Amino acid sequence: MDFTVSVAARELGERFRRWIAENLPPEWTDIAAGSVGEAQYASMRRAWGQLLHRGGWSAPTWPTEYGGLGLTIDEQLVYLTELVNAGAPEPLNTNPIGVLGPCLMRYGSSRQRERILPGILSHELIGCQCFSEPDAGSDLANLRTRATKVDGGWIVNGQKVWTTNAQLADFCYALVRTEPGSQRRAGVSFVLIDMRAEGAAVRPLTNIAGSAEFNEVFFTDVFIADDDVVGDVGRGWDVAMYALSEERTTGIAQRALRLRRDLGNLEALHRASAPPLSNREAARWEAEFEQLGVETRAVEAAVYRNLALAAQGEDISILSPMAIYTWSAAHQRLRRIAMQRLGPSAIRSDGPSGDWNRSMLFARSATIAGGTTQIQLNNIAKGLGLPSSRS
Amino acid sequence: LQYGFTTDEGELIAHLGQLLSHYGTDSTDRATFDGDLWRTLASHGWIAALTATDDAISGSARVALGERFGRAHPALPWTVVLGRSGPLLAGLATMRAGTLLERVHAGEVITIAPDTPSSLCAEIGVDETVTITGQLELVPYAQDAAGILIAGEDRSEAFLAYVPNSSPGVHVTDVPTVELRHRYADLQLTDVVAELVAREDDDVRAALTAANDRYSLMLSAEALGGLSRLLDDTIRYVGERHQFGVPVGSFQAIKHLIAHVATTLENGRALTYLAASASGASSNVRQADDDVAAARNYTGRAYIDGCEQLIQAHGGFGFTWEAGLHTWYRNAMVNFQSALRGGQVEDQHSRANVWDLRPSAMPCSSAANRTGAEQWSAGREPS
Repeated sequence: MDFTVSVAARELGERFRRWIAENLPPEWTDIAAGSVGEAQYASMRRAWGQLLHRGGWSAPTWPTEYGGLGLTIDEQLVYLTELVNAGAPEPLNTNPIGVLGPCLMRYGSSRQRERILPGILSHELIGCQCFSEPDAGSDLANLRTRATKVDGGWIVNGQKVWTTNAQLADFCYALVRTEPGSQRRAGVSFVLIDMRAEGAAVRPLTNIAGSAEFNEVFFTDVFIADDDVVGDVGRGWDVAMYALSEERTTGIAQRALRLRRDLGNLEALHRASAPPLSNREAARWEAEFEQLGVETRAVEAAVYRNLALAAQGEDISILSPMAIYTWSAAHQRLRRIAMQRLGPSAIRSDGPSGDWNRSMLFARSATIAGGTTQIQLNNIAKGLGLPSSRS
Repeated sequence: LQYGFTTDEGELIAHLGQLLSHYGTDSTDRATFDGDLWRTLASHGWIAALTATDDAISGSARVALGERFGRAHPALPWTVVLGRSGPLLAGLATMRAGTLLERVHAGEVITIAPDTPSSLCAEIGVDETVTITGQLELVPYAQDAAGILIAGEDRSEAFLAYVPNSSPGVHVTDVPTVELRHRYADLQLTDVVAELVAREDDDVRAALTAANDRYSLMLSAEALGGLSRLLDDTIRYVGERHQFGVPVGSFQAIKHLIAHVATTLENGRALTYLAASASGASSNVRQADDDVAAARNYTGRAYIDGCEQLIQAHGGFGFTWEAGLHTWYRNAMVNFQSALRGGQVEDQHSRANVWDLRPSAMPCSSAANRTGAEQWSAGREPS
């Protein structure tokens, strides 16, 4: 049992910290979602992705042969910690790098890798993930977007929804049904679609916080070539599940680290606020923050455990939803407490209040996106061996 | 980062589980001290191994071994002796501490007062003795012990004293509590001449702090072990119990409740292993001395909350004496209250809140000079 990180990882962390200090423009740090316009926010994230790439600091999990950093699990943890501690934005292609990249390395053809991997690293190519559909959210296997075989390729028809960054994307990676009449997970393929192609249309959706990162995506007779299918035709479900499991360890690690930073920001706000609190009020807030501190530490401990076990090649299919479930509850609770602490001025849309109240609104996604709390609990229960409710 | 036990550690954990396996949920009457099992553990070297202050057994493995005790919940003073009095004696270099430690290793119970009330008066004598008068409440296993350790302070000099139960002036009263397995007694001490085990110059305060961390981790291990046992029993039960023609465990309302408890158990486990394995080590992952306290807070809550949820999952069955579920809930109630200096699990956010254990007995002369009313209010003041 070892919860410390290696000397090599610590050294890497120091190098990365220095690089960030020299390269991350201060006006890009700690930008709360929704505090600037979507276009401005996206272009900042794109530019940060380009900077990281030029500096040789992108794709921590990718092997070096594909232009990644090939970091060990300790180094990945330190890498993420430095980014979070600096208040850095997420590169725009975080999802393509984290989810699509490993898929192409495992299931893709060498041509697909050459076409896509360098572009998403350098942020010359922006990608988006088209999995969910109006009738396939939690029940992803109910997806209906279909691809019909034609000479040299496929014709795609259907609708995707809740697609982040589709309005900016050059291409998407999508799950489509390639076998007519197939059910559930069978007959589904993982394909690459040119978002500029004729017949691909994007309609922005405004989310709960009033910003438009989500979209509906419509495919009407969009042609894709045979070479746009990743892995075997009809085996796309396995590709997608591999992609998502890859993302679940480091993705949650980064969110857990941000929870710590959020708590620090909340405590700073508490200390800086005027007028001074009565002893009784101060004691109440201290107790709230300390309890949040305990929950945050529990999330961190769970994340360290999951990272270590994943690196050891062990099964974390029950521990992974547990970490997400715990993180999402703490993430939301922290925002509620921040709003309470801000008092009546918490409702203002300007200044720090605006950041916190938008963040509280946006935090609803924590228990929905990437698997609702209810789905996470179902998966935990399944792992515990409880009887199926669908028999 | 590395998560998991070595092969040797795994074998130790399994072996201890075997030794304790006959303890079940079925024994529900108030237990008596299982002296035979305690002496068996001693003769197999478990007590010496688990009270040692070296790292022959890693901190996280000690927690996992504590979980085996917690799962079995035997009527043994394992939390207090393996967690607190033993490591305290092992952490002191004095001859008397060494002699007492050998007796602990041999299977004698030497317990320690959970807290030293400020109304206790103590005076260090010239002949390596301490004269003590006062009352101690709810001392674990005092009625089964050869003697009891008392940490105190005489005119701001810290000391650790040992009172054999057979000393003149010691009166031990068995106290029934909500707990059915762990045992407690009140002590009345009247001009008891105790042995001085260690004093200020022997670094008794540092040894107390270190032992209290160990105790806190043992209590967390008890919570994890008890909760994991009840969770396993519940998962089995909801698969067997049918209503509406299907196992009740197939209903999402039940599944989600159990999944939630399992999550808090695993979180608490990760947090406690983190706190235990980081003891004494420094790194940029471990960020605070608060981890021990955070683990105590988290596991104490998880145990009592979890018991409530899992009793619910058992339906009315959970409230019948025969099922034995209350054994764990009662243990959780005690575990939740088990903090020093009157602090409760809820107050344990940081080390400062938990382990501000300044020995607090006052010199007898000042006690004697006080009026009854002054003594009364002094006893009520937080010190």
